[in-house]
Amino acid sequence: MNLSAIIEELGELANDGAPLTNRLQRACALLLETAPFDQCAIYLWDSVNRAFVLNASVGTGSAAIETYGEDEGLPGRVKASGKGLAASKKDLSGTAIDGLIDAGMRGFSYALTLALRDSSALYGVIYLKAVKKTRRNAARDSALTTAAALIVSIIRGEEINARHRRKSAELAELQARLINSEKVMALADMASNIVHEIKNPLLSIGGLANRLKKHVPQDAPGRLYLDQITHETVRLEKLIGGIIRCLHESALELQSDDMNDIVSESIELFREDAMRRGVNIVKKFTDNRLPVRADREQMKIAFDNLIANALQSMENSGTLTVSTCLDNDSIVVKVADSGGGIDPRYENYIFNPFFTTKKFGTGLGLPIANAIVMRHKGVIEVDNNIGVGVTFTVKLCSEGIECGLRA
Amino acid sequence: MKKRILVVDDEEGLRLLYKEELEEAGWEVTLAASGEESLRRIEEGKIDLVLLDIKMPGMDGVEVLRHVKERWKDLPVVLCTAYPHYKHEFGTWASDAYVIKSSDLTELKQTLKDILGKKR
Repeated sequence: MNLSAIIEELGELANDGAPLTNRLQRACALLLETAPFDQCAIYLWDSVNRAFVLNASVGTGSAAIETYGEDEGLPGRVKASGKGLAASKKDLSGTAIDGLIDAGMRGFSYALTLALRDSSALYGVIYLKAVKKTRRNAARDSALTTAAALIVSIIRGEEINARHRRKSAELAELQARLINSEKVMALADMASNIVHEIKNPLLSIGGLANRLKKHVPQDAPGRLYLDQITHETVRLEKLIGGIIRCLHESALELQSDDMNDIVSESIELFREDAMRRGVNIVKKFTDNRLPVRADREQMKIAFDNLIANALQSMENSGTLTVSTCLDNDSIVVKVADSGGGIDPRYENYIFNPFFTTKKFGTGLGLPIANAIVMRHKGVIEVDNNIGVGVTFTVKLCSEGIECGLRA
Repeated sequence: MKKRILVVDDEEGLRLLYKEELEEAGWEVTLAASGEESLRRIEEGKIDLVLLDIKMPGMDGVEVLRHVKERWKDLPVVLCTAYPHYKHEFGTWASDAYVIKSSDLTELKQTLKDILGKKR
C-alpha cells in the first residue's frame, strides 16, 4: 500500500463509527505497512491515573507492556520532553535502552516513539519497535508525523463523540424527569380534587357534631362518641389543610418587612399554649431592624409551624428560646426547644411530608415551614442536641442582597 | 331589626350547619344551593350580607361576586372556601372578607359581626 493510500485510510478512520480500540488497531496495522517496524502499540494518556495505558497493539515479538507510569520507559520520556524520539540498544534480551529501563524493549533493538499531541494536550504515544535497526529517512519521518496527526484527530473525535453521548444521556434523563414531574402534577391535581370532595362533607360532620354537643350534656350516654367525632374531625381538617397548602403554592406576595415583627407575631399566637404546657418563652431579639422581603402571612405560617413543633416536644416544662440576629448579609432566626432532641434514627426524615413521631401530628408542619423558607430563597438548618433539645435555624437574605444561601 | 345573611353553598350539610349556627348567633338566614339561585334570592331583596362558597358547579362564587358587585355595589360579600390560595386570585379582591372553611365557625362569625356591625 502506498503512502497516500495509508494517509487517506487514516483520515477515514476518524469518521468511522467503530470502537476506538478497533480503529487504533487498524491504524497500527497501517503504520506497520508503511514503515519497517515489527510491532506498533498505541498508548493513551490517562490524566486521572497519570499513566500511559495500552489501547491497541499489532505486530510480532513480546507483548506490549500494558501501562507506563508518567516517568517510566520510552513513553515516560515522551511525556517529559513533549516530543517523540528514537532509541536503540545492542542486545535483544536486555531492557536497558538509552539510559533507562523499558521492559517493553525485550526482544527488540530499535524503537521510535511519536507523541500524539496537538497544541493543547498530549493524548498518547505511538510506540514502534523493530528487531533490527533501520536507517531513518526524512520522507518516512514526515509520513509518520502526518499519520500521528491523523491518529490524534481520531482520538479527539472519539472524545467529542463521548461528550456528545454523555450530553444525550443527560438530555434523556432530563426528559424522563420532566415526564415524571408531569405525572406528579397529574397526581397532585387528582389529590386536590379528592381533598376538596372530602373537605366539605368533613366540615358538615364536624360542625354538626359540634352543634349536637350543645344538646347532649357532658354526662349523657353517647357524649363520649361525639367528643371523639369532633376531635377526629379537627385532626382530619388539619391534615387536609396541610395537603392543600402543599399542593397549591400560591404566588408569594412579597413586601418589605421586619423579621422581628413577623417572628414576634408568631410567638404571641403560642403564649397561651406555652403557659398551659408550663413552657417558658425566652425572646432574644436584636434591637436592629431585620429588613426582609417576605410574604408576611406565609412566613408567619412557617414560624407558627416551627414554634408549634418546638412546643409539642416539651410536655410539662421547658424553655422555648427564640432569637434573632443579623449575620453579615443574612438574617438568622433560631427556634430552640429543650425537649430532649430528635431520635437520631428519624433525623433525616423530619422534613419529609407525612412523617411524624407524634400521636396527633400531621407530619406536615416542618415540610411546610421548610417549603416556605425555601421559596423565600432561605435555608433551615437543624441542630439536634440529643438529650437537650433541637435548634432550628432559619437563614434569609437581607432585603435587596443576594447573599447566596442557596447556591 | 335582625340582619339577614344569604348563605350560598352547594353542600347541603354545610347549608344546614351555617343556618343553625348563624341563627343561633342572632341573624336571619336565607339559603341558596347554587350561584344562579343566589342571584334570584338577592333580587327578592332584604339581604344584608352574602356568605359565598367559591367552588360550585354551574355559576361559581367568583362569578356571583362579579354580578353582585356590578348590581348591588354596597352589599357585602364574604368568600368562604376550602382553598387558601384563592386569596391571591384576581376576581376575589372585590370581596369584603375571605374566610377559610372550618368546622369551627368562630372566625367566620367574628368576621360577619365585624362587617355587619360596621354597616349603618
